[in-house]
Formats: sequence, structure tokens, C-alpha cells
Amino acid sequence: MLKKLLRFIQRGGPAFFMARKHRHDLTAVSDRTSRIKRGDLLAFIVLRNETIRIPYFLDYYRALGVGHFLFVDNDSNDGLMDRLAAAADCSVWHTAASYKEAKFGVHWLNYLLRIYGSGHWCLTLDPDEFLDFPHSDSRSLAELTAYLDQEGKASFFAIMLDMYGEGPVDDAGYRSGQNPLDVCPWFDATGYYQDRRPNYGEWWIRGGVRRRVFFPDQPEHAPALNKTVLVKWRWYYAYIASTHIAWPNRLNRPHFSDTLAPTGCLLHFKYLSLLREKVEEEMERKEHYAGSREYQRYLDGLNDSAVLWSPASVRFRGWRQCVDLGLMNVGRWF
Amino acid sequence: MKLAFIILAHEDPANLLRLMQRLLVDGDIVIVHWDKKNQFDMQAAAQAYFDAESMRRVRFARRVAVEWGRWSMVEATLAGVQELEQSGTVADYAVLLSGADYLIKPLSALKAFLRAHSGKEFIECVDPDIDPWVVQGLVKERFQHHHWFNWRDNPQLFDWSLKTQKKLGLKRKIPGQLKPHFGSQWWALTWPTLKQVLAISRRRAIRQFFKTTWVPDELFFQTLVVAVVPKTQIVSSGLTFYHFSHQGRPLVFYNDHFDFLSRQQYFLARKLSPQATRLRDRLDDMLEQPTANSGGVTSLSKQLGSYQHFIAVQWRGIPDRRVVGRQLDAWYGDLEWNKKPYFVILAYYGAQLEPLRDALNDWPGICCYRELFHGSHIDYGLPDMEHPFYPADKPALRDMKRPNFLVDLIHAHPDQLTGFILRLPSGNEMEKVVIFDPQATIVFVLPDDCYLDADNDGLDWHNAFDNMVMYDYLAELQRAGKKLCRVNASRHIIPADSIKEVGAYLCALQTTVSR
Repeated sequence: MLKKLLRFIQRGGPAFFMARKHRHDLTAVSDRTSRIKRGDLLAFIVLRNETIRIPYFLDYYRALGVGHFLFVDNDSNDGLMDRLAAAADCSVWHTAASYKEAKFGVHWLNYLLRIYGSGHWCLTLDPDEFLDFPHSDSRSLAELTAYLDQEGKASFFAIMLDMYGEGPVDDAGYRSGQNPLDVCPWFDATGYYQDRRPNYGEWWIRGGVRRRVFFPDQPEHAPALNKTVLVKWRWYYAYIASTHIAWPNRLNRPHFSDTLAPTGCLLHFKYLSLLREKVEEEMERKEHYAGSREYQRYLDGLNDSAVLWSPASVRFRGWRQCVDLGLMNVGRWF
Repeated sequence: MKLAFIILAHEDPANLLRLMQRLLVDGDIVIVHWDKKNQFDMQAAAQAYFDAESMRRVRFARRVAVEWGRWSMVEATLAGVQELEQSGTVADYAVLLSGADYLIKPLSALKAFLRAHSGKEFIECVDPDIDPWVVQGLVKERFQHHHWFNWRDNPQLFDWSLKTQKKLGLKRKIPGQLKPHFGSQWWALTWPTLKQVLAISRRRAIRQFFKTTWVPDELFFQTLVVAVVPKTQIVSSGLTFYHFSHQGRPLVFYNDHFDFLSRQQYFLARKLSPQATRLRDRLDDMLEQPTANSGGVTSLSKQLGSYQHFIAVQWRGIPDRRVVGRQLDAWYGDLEWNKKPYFVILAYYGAQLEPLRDALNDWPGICCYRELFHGSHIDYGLPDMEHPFYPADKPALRDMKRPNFLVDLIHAHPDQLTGFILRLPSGNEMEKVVIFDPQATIVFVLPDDCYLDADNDGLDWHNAFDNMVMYDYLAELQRAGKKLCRVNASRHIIPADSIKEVGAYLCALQTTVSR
């Protein structure tokens, strides 16, 4: 019992105190959190200069039933506040502090999640991520969370699918408010690798177009695609490494102890023409994971005008297709 | 025939009003118990929603703060029954349902059914001595011991109190000559029976006894009805379709469950998701335009075929599909779920296999790659059949997990029987993978013993080594009990007869697959 408690403090403590420390980075710009109702579904987002994606992002998640959006604005200068000032369901915190120092935003998120997310089902997202789940055409996200509640499961596992268009990335232009699926409807249906890692018990999934195009010689360096984005938060929970790893370990379990649970797909629209600007800026700032190694690869790829599409690519047709391809589970959710 | 519907509801006023409207169309009365814990003014909402005529048939019971699994649930139901008694209306049957239920057959069909079975009591009554009824959890402990704590709030205290009572050997006596029976909470009872139950429920000893039982709503009415009505009068089933999962949790119905619900030979369904608006719309359409299959229930029965099939499939995952977040053996990778056969030509380094490969590729439906697991590149050997995700000059993509590459390639051409050459020793352990893979068919090429009569001086060491490796591995295959097609090369060339044999062997495999 005491041993358990000690281990609990040892592993959960650092995340807790780092989040506490980094709360001073955040200043509330528009705080409408008093409007959050009991049982609301919340979304937490860290972003920098991605305002162009926001209108469709908000539409999509409002339709899924998200009640309130909590943004951490990492010093954007593209008019984010003009977009969000009028929205009654958005709260914004501003910070000019280092993204890297805050463990790539994790400490900010952990702080906000603890203060506002405890007791709610919380989505933690990037503005280019769109969640799809089993029966999403006939059932709502609230029904999914109610089911998970009933089954006593506190988290929902998702695999990230990188979406891309037919031509070079620079040609995939995106207008604000447009459905990104119109620009990037393709994804890799095969070529995914999953392994369970020991420390946090998370399923480490790599593969897809990123591994194939940007990491063909060192595929083991390809970024992780496993994400636990939907969690019924409690005050002591924490994200460890982005949303790839959560703590306590049980949150990383995709399934029930006896049978399969539903899992989802997180459509990721990174490969738009917006990428170049982003990558060039990030290469200057060096604020990303592993010395922005990933971003160097992207830049090289862009400069070679890499085409991500290949004859084996598959056009996205919805959740049934994902189940059929073995990328999504329905579990025992009848 | 006049019915009284007693509705227990604690949330979702909009859907409650919708349900009430459905139940009021035929001149019946509705009694609502609105949970005291919900501050919403249900009475005012109903007054605004219904016209005066309908409102005369709507009554609100004394409100009780309902706690799941406790006596308050029965108290709320009894409050509804009392309200019915005070209203002075003479109803033939009273039907208990919840706010999350909905009609799945027209009221006219329900009345016709009740008329045909007039005087029967529709309440599930199961004797725990015969059938435990409960899916998971306590059965007799529910009434043999006191339960002061709610398991939902204080699971540890609940378990502790139960354990302590068991240890001390404390067992409760059941008042009167009652024989406890279990059953679903939802029933339809005749008014005379209900009146008798109400009278008994006013006895102090009875109330005291049931107050500290666990989940009395599945015990109280069932036990009392058995006590006051002969067993022949009881149809041991309510009018409400419900089902509990293997984990003991009620199924919830969503927008895509219309067909499933309309198949059920019941009149009400429990429980519908609050957001299932389209499902309610479709049920409304069906209730308003009854078709042949929407009425005429002769006996109450669950049609669970599709549900049981679903569970049987989903229990272990869809066959022949990867399950995200589950892998029994990291080393085996995607081969674990692959059900598509393939073949491997295991050969020694010197064997000349191109004639064999050409002959196989000429067979329709067979596609034989060269050395896919070659050390320096992916040697496809079939320029049109390369996998676009694995360029020939990027072996690292393949080597990250070789079984996954193999599975991707096998499934890239669904109508082809795929195979490849593996030369031993491979140096990448793929021969150890295929030996245990039931989907792998092995064509085994053995060298002849030409090393003995080598022309120059005595022994050809290359050939001797090949012989050793191949016979070693052959012994291993035989130990594993793996079936194989054995081919003997002569001077490193495979005879034409053997090539035909291999072709026929693989073709037989192909026909068994397609069948």
C-alpha cells in the first residue's frame, strides 16, 4: 500500500509540479470558463499561427458536441483573437514562453486540464487533428463517452492517420473554413507497426506516410502515431509526452481487460501548403521535439517537392472503411 | 381497455415529453415520477406542452430523491401507484416504464395483446434457487444481509459491511411467508393485484425489511406478486424489451438500431440514448403507419441473433483484421492475424531457381517474387508487382518488422497466391518465422550430394556446407510437423518434372483457398 503510494507520488509528482510551475506562463485573454456546464465535453488546444484552420476546426467539433474550447495561444501573430473574441464557447490563454521549456506544451495543458477538465471528458488536440470513431455517422461523441462511462473506461485510444493530396505538398492549398478532406483525401492503409513499450505501457505505433516518405532510411525514428486524445480527466492525471503517453498507465490501455474496446482514428492534416511556412519558421525557432529533426526532414522533402501520394494510397471513405482496414475497432459497442 | 403508465424519470425532459405524448394518444393516463434531485420544473413544462384535455390524464407523483440500487427507487414507484389510487381512475393494467424507454409497437397492438391475455401479470419472477438471474454480482446476498451503503458511492464500505456480516454469521429473516424472487424492474400488473401489493407495502415489517436490501427494485414487486397471485397467473416477462451485456450492463440503443428494435416481440424498449432522435422519429413513423410486421405480437420474445453474432465476432476481433492496440507476439507482428496463405521457396545459395520461378509465374493466379529478404535491397524480381510503399532500394522500411512487410505484400494482390524465395541461411530469421506460420506453405529445395564426387580433389566445401544447412533445417521442419513440398536439385538445376510437381502442388493449394 505504502509502496504503491510512493510510486504514485514518484511518477505523478513531477508532472503535477511542472504543470504548477508553468501556470505562470499563461495569461487569460478571454476567460469564459464560467459557462462550462456539468458534463460538458471540453477541447484543449495549444497552437501557434494556425488561425486559418480554426473556423472548420470549431465547426467540426461543435457538431461532435464539444461544449467549450480552451486554447493556449503560443504567441500567434495571425489574428487568432479576432477569430475567437466573439465565440462564446472559447477561452484563450496567451503565452510568449518557450514551447520547448513547457515540454512541448504538455505542462500548460496539464495545468488547464487539472483546473477546468477534472470531471469532464476532455479532448486534447492540435488544430489539424480530426477525430473519427465507430458509428460516427449515427451516434454522437456524447453517446460514446456515455458508453465508456458505463463500461468504466476513462480513456479512448486513437491511431493518427496522416492525410495527403495527390500532388506535391506545396500545391495543396487550403482556404479558411474549407473541409481539409477536400484537399487531402488520401492516406496509407497499410504499413503500420505497433509495439507495447514497457514504462508507461503505451502502444507505440509508427508508420504511414511519414515513415515511408520522410524516414525511409531510419524508419525507427518515425514519429509516434498513437494518441490518447479523449480522457475523462481527474485532477491527478497527466500527459507525459504530448498526447502519445498519458499517466496513470491504465489510460494508455486501448482495450478492456477481457475484450476489445472501441478505438478511433485521428485524421491529421499536416501536409497542406501551409507546411512550408510553418517548417521554415520552426527551423529558426528550434522549439520542437528532438532538435526539430522531424521538421528538417519535412523541409528536405518539401525542397525535393516530394509527392506523398502513391498507387497504394487509399481514399478516405469513413469509419466503416477504417474498421475494414484494421485501423479502428468497434469493440463490443453494439 | 384503459391503461395507466407510470414513468420513472430523472433527466432529459424533452424526450420524456415526447414519450408521454406517444402514450397519451389513446385516452390512457400517465403518471410521472420526476426525481426530486432534478431541479427542473417538469410539471410546468408538461402544462406548457400539452393541451388541457391531455393534461387531465397526466398526473405527477409525490417526488422522492431516487438513488440507484436503493429503496428510494421502490418508494418512487409506490408513490406513482399511490397517485394512481388517489386519482380514482379505473385502469385495467398499470405499466411501469422509465423515461428512457420508448414504444416499439402501436398502443392498439399492446391493448389487443393484453385483452387476449386478460388477467395475467406481466412481471419477470425468477426463483434464485432455480436460476441466479443476476449476470454478475450478488444474488441471495442482496436480501440475506443488510446493505447500508451504496456500492456506487462507497464500494469499499459496501464490500466491508457485507464481509463482516458474513463473517459474524448474521443472516436476515424474511418476514411473513415471503419467498424472494428476482426479475427486471419493469412490469405491467393488473389493478387488483397492484392494490394488494400496495396494501402489503404499507406494513411496517415489510418496509423495514426491504429498506436495507440491495437493488430492491428487482426484488420487491416480484416477491410480493408471487405472494398474492397464483403462479399460473404470472407471465414471467414484462412488456419491455431490455438486454444486459455479458458485463451486466443494459444495452443502449442508438440511431442505427431501428431494425434491431422493430424485430423485437415486445411493446416497449429500454433504453434509448437521449440523443437518439432519429431512432425515435423512425419509431414514430412506424407507430403511425403500422405495417404487417409492426403489430401482432403473439408471445413476448427477444430476437437477439444479430447481437449474439456481433458479440461472438467482436470478442476476439474481426477475423483476418489487425486489432489496433493488441499484439500477442511482437516478433510475429501482423502475421498473427493474417489468414491468407502464401508460399516460400526455401533453397540453398547455389540453386538455380529462375526456371522454377518463371514456370510458376506463368500459372494464372500465382505470383512468385525473387529474394524479398535479400540483405542489400528488396529483390522483387517482378517489376510490375512491386509494393509502392516499399521501394526496392529502401530495405530499412522492410527490416523495421519483416512480418509486417510480408503481410502488406501478400494482401496487396488479393486474388494472387503470393510467394518468394528465401535462401538459407538467411541471416534475418525469416526461416524461423515461416516455420511456425500456419499460412506458410513450404517448397523445400535440397541439393544433391555432388560434393562427394567433385571432379578435382575429393570434397567441394560449398556444396558440403549447403547440404549441412539444408538437412539441418529439414530436420527442424520435420520436428515442427510442417508439411512441405520437397524438391531435389541435380547439379543445382531443378528437373522439369519437379517444376511441374511444384506447380500442381501450389495450384491445389490455390483451389482449396478459393473454395
